[in-house]
Amino acid sequence: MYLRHGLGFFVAWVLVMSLALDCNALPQDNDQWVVVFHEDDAKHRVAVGTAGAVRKILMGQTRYWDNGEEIDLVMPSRESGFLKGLSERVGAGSDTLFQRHWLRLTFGGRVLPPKFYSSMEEVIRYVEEHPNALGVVKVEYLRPNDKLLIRPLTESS
Amino acid sequence: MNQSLRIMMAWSLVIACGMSRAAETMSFDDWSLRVFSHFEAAAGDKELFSNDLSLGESALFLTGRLSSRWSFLSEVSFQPKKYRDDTVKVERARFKYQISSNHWFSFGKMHTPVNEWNDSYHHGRLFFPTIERPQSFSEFVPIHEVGLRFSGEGLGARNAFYDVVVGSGQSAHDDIFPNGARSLTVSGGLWIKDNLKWRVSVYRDKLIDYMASESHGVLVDMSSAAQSNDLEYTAYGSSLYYSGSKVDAKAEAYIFKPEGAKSSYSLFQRLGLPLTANLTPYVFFDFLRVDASEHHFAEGYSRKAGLGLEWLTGATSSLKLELINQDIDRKNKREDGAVVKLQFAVGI
Repeated sequence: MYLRHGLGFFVAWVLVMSLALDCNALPQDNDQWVVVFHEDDAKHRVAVGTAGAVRKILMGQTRYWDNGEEIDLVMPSRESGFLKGLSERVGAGSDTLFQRHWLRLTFGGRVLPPKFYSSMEEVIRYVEEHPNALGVVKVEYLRPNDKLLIRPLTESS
Repeated sequence: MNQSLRIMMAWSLVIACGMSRAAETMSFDDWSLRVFSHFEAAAGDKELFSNDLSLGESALFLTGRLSSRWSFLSEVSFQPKKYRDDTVKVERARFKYQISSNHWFSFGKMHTPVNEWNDSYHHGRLFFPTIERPQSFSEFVPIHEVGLRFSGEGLGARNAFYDVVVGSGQSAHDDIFPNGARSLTVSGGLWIKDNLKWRVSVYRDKLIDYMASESHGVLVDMSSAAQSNDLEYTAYGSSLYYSGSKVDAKAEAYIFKPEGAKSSYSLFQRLGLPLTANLTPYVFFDFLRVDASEHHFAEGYSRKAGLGLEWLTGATSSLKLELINQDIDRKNKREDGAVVKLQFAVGI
């Protein structure tokens, strides 16, 4: 009995993983998304050093800067009209799935929810005013500002 | 004054203190309050479900920062007397202290991190991959624990994580260490890929006067006399969760090994094939087997297989429809039949 169920379990997983191997490509849209964060970047460089690292922050897998302080994550809300594009860019599938992902993480108790603002300007303003914040915005909304550093959201941005 | 009431009063005090602290130093952006609820309908073989229509648990969920390192989380569920004896239950109430960026400890009433399902979905039907929890949750899985928990995550290139819980044990219910530290959970895992998570766990506990245990009362096999009124057992769990854009898959395996008896076990698997972002058909298989030498649970097996469809009607609501075939062959129950279930879950 143990052997039969163990074998069934194993076969099912081999099947699942075979199906899943090529399912992770991100959609290639032309949105120029970037993350912005405070100028004091000595503590930030590793956390946002690569697009993969940035994605982990946006999906809640990385929640602390390298100096141990909490990343204060800020994004445009669904009402802003930009969450759908952002969700597709980070590979979350849709804005519904992205919101649901964060709701589930919050409910799980390991994270506190990110902040959502209804405009890009509010996201940028929040980051300017909070040293540990990391915001996600479209590049065309950025104005010259020597307080903020910018990193691409994905390799193709 | 009963235990639930005492916990409710303590919980209220915590909320009051936390909210006043938040009002002094923090914004309400640091707090999140939500209500989750669900409704269910069922039809088919009457022996396999309790109610044609039912209002499920409604849970009040609160989480927030108390300071830069302290946070609080609570989940209180409500259900009418018609469905359960305790209309109000504190499901979770715990304080968390962030030791460093990757490590923290927490204490209070929590869900035991013995598997991914219990540590992620808690009482939120909105997030459940199927309408019901795996069958093992009704028998082997120690869902709640009052205790002290040390945790870490984001360790190494694979984002390894761990949890160690020193608990009051299942016999203590909501009391805080009435018999000292009785249970120990050691759980850990890693992200094999960014969307593939693996967890293993070991849980050890001693049930006191287990023949009178409320939590497993329905399935206690009174005919098998035990050597002692206490029962020491070890449980082993493993979870494998994959989430892709075209396939998502979840598997839970659990082994229950009491002293003086052979192992019993359960396996749960769900495979979803998202058609669109909001529509996912899925299949699931759930098998539980209790060995004939088992003292505490009725021997035999229960097998469930089902087809389901999940429709995300929004970020905070979902509709699930399932056709389930169940075959039960236990010492205290034999049944074979089919059920259609519908569940609407919502979070506000």
